[in-house]
Amino acid sequence: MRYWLAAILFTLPLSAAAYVSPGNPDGFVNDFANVISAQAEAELEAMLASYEEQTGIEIAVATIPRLGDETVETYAVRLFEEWGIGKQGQDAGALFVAAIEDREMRIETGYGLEGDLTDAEAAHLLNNVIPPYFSQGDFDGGVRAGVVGILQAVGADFDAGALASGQSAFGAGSFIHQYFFLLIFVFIWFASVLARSRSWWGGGAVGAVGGIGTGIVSGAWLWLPILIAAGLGLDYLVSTKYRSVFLHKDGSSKSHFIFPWIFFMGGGPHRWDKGGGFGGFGGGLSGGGGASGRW
Amino acid sequence: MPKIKASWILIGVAVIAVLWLWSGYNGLVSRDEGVKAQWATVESVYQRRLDLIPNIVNTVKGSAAQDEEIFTQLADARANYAGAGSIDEQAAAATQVESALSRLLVIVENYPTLKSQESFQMLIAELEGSENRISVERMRYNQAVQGYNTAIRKVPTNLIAGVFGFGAHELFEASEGADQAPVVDFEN
Repeated sequence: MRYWLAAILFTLPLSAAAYVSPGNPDGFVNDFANVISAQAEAELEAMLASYEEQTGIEIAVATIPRLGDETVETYAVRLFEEWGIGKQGQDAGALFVAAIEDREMRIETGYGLEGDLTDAEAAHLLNNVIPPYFSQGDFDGGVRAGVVGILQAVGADFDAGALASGQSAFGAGSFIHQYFFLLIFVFIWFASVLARSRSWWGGGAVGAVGGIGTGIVSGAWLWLPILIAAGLGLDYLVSTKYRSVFLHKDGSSKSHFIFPWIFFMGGGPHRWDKGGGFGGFGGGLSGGGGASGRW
Repeated sequence: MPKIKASWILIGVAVIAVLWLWSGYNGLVSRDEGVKAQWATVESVYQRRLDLIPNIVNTVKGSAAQDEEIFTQLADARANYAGAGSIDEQAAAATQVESALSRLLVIVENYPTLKSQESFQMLIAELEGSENRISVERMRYNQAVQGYNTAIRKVPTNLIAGVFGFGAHELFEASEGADQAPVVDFEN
């Protein structure tokens, strides 16, 4: 019985995890297989980063040692999905992945680039342009030729104006990210107003208003009782503690007391960024477009 | 005073129950619509492949005009897909298109000059891209169906699903043998 259980526990994770993530991206060029020289990697990284800055299009390169149990097609679509290449909602991204030991590679095109980087163009790069370099072991040259080919295909008729005007379509995630500190200020302001009121039901009312707003916008009415409870709790807390924390004995405000607190909060945003100056990809998606090749 | 408190608690419980019903029901509606939207995506990639067929047929006909049978099969398969109504019928017709196309590709193996034509290679790259898109979107359809079917069977959302009549969606399963290339029979 014990052996039987152990056998199941041992085989279960193996059968469930066919796709193994190579790790988080640390830039546009991710050389997990260690086949690209540092110089070429830096050069391509700079090229792709400035291209992303100008156009918003994210083109990622990944070299991996081997595919494991996956085909290059399923590996590419899952890696694309995991990293979220391209801005969310626009999906203007492309991934060039090469599995060195399997000698297989693929260009996976995001939904938003399917019209610019056609499957036929990707197939041309993978069948005719890149293999001469790769088969000689020149991975610097092959990856560079691939990246330049993708940029040429994408840049040919890309409408940068449409992208710039579509910037409001960025996801709610980045909205919250950008306005997080505004929200904290609003929160602190509310707390001080509620505290000054010295009644304990005002926070509940504010929570109810917020909950009804959330319910109308998203239909998630469960937030209503949660927000009411949170508002009541907060107001109760600040109302009872207010006198001791925020007021001098004579009743005048110790407003400077809040100040270092805000300052501490304001120092925080860097913690939300991934290190090394690369903030991650934008959350784009691909639908299996592109082409595969061998060398 | 205790009486008033009890009725307040009852009202509170009733309000929470109504809100839970509301969000649970809306959650199921969103999942159901997600499944339908994903099937629409599958349909659009099916259509992408169908739109490629006339181009491929025209290119192949130039070199392989005598293999008439395959062109009729392709035309039949397209017509069947156009006439298919339900998801099951569409899936079956799409499988028919798949087997006709792979038979065509086997026939093309006999025409090396056709295979080396640049225009034909481009069409094949687009066709392979279409096939891969189809498999990706079908996989996402199955994921959406799985999420929905799990939600309507789990406690407590199964109660809401039962009361409001949310039925299970069918998973897409490739018909038997569709993953294998057909064998060409030279006897006929």
